[in-house]
Amino acid sequence: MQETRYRSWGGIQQKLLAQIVTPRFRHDSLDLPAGMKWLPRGNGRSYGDCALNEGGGLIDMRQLDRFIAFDAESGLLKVESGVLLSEIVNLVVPHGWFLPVTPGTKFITIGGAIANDVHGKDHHANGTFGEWVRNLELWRSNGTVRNCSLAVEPELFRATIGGMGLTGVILTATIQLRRIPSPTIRCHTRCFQSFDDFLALDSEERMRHEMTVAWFDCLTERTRGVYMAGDFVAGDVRDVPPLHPAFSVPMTPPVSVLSGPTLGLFNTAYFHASKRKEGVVDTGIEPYFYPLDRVGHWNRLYGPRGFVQLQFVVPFAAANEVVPDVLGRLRKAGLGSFLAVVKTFGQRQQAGLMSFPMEGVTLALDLPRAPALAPVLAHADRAVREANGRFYAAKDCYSSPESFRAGYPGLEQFKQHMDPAFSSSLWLRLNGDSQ
Amino acid sequence: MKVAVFGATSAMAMAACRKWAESKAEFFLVARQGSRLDEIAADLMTRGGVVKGSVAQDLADPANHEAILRLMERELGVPDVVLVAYGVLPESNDLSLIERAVQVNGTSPIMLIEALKDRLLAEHRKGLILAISSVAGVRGKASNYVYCAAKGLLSRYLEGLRHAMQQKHAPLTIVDVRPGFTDSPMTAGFPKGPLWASAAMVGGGIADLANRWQAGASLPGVKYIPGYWRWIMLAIRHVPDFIFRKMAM
Repeated sequence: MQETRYRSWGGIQQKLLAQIVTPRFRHDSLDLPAGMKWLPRGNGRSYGDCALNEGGGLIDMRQLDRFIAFDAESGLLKVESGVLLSEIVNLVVPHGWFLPVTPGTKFITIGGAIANDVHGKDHHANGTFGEWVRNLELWRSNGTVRNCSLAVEPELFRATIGGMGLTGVILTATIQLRRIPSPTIRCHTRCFQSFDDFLALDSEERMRHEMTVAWFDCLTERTRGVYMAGDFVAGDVRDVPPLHPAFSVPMTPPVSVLSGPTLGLFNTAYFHASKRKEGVVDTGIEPYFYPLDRVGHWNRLYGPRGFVQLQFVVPFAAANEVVPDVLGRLRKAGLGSFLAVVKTFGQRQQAGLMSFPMEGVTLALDLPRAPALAPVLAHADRAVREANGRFYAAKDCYSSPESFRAGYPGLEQFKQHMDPAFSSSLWLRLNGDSQ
Repeated sequence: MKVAVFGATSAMAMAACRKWAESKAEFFLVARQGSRLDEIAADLMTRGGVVKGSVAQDLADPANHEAILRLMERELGVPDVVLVAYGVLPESNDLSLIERAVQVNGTSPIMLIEALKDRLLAEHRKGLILAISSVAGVRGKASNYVYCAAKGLLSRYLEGLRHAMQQKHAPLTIVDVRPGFTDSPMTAGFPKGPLWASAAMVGGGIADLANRWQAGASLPGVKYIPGYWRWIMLAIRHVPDFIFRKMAM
């Protein structure tokens, strides 16, 4: 075994790595040494342990980063799974296309987007990323390559979407892009003063706008925040997002820069600045969808201990209780979040057996690691489970096997499609060795 | 811009080609494995390039060169830019590996470039030959000295060819590209340090050279990528032998 510098985005280090295999060409044969479990790895942006495989091997997919075909008339794009969303955006925006679903960073691979069945600000209108995958080619450890879609091998297809890389290696994917009238987003900003205000505002705005999200200040008692709704319009902003961040945090500072007093100051300043920006403004793709991508390695600002991303979803019926309850616990423990995002999900048929979104409210918080955090996370774990909600595997590193089982009714069916040679740290934590 | 790439599956060459594809370059690609060439061609074409032809052949054998070049002329025409990017890093200085190391890195590119040079000159218009040598070719040193010798052979040849072209007032530009430590499949087994560059970065530098040349700039005869290797190698080259021999490297 070798020591490794493979870490999760939140700073969890994989200490023991059996081996790394780096495929370079997709038609080459992939030989995985026996005697250990494997896991494909994309760009390492998962916060928790779903892209780590402690004691096992990693398949680094970033060299399989070729485009295969792009039809600028129909918007169908076929790519190798190591291609980044940033590279796709760079290619297709000048032709009048965009990703139908995008998360808050474009520096993830297509494989990662599918394996986590990522969602964006437009879930209520466009669903998850997996809903836009038309086909994928999956390599299995018995040496076969399986072609999967809703028509051909639909069960394996639905197991692989949101399947956390555990069903095999995605080699290629064909996705349907969506047309945009121009790279301009018309953004409507409104402030709200409480969680109930947010829910009322959201129930109206989501009918009127394709993209909605809210940021809120969880340090104050009544959860004030900023609601941002947007739509693509035929406007004058024409920038195409850059391929690389403008500047980067070069190294990890010895302590976290993003906690305590700085947090309170930032939140207050941001809220008041947003209040001044209430109204309508036209903006570009980069600032609207990917504000954090402008700073490379921003996760380093949390210092060597890293941070925890807490994200869960609960049904609407339970949201008024669970969300203020969790936020209240965090406040009482003196833990705040720099970036607290809340969004509502619409009612959609799940694209994957293990997909995270469900109709209801999702809350996502960055929390610096501190001793006071563990009991709050344990409480959140129970509260979410009892509310029939669940946690997001792409972010998770703290939830319990009970919550996992209760939250994902597709789990038993999913297990039947897992590749026996594949595993991950998350899977071991939430399932033990049972397959 | 018409580009012929010899060793198209080299990580540096793939990165350079991607950049050229964005400017809608036309390509002729040569490498040993056809399936890999197909994958690269599809990628370049999606990015805006045009792959006029490709051939799967072993460039290490000069007997193959004539057929390859005739195919190139038929499918692409005579290129504006030639990139010679193939090479091998022998695992050791074992006697069984030496001849191939010199053949692949030294003698076969020399014969290829000589054959290409005549075709380019016959067109009576400007042309550019970029050949990837290495900082290793600048001075013989204890580790991998057979590789150093082979790259040195290539660099010395390019130096002479450059001189010859200048003397003849030929519109042919010859550039000896010397990457420093580069993270690529060739160096997969080596631990990486702060001086290491990515193959993508080196490929980008190579693409910039051709783009600048096409825009009318004059290029240096030797180009170190990243640029700071010029100063490192200047120092290394001038260390007296009795001192250098005692330095571990």
